[in-house]
Amino acid sequence: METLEQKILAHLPEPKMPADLGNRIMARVERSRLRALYLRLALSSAGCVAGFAYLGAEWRALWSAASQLPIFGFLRLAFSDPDIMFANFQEYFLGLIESTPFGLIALGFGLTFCLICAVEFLSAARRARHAPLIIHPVIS
Amino acid sequence: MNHLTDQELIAQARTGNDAAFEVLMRRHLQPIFRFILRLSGDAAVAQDLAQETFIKVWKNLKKFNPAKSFKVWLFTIAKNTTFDWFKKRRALPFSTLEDEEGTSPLENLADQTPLPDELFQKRETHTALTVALNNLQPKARAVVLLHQIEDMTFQEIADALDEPLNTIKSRYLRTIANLRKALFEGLK
Repeated sequence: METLEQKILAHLPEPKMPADLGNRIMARVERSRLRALYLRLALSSAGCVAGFAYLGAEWRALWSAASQLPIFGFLRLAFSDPDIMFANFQEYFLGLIESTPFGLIALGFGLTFCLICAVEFLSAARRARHAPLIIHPVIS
Repeated sequence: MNHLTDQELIAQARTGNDAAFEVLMRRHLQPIFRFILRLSGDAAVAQDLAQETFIKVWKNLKKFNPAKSFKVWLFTIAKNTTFDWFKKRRALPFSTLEDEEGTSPLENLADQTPLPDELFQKRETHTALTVALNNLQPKARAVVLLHQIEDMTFQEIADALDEPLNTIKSRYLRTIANLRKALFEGLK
């Protein structure tokens, strides 16, 4: 048996929902997705530009520092006089660790990461822009 | 994909599957739109708020705990979105039936006549009912709509509105009594 409140509220008129409301929501979802993608693309591109700009401005100093790295001397010695290198391996190895150019390595990794991200986001954005627009049938 | 449960659709939507999200959205769109429309009283606003609700759902789907009820979470977002809109308007609708404590002068009216069944068939009843519902405080209206129209339990409503269970129950009983009396007064 119906309760009083069921009787009262059962006679509320059912509101009419616009038929295209679902489509409008999905269109907004798509726009939000593209906006987020473009933002990530902009940030990773900015990282790439900043990294390459720094490399371009400081390439002589960086090249000079890189060519004087102990690792190259270590590798030359390993090929020319491997017995000397193995006899003093511990000293050479500790010296290598002390002189590791962490800044240069971080710059390299950061630049590579930004470049990969930028390429991925760019291709995702192009796929999203050119995806076929599917209009869903209006279900009455 | 229409045969999948909400939980299965949510799991797929979380991986970026927009088709799964769309099925989930269309499944719940009508109840959410109906709830927001009856809460806000404005069809154009209800369309905007329904869109905002589902955009928030889409953005926060990864934060949703699958062990909890999706329906409760969804209606919580819809309720919060609508109440934020009320705040932006800088005017929570003042109920002509209740004061700030939620009590109503109509509570002291003795029942004069039981409401006959034929009364519910009349057009005047529908109008009076809509007016009486719109005159309720939003929180009271939300409780009644969620329980009677959306078939949510009092516990689910308490979770959605983030209020104690006993508060929800007493608000519901008071609101139904007020609605009945307002209907009676409106049809006199």
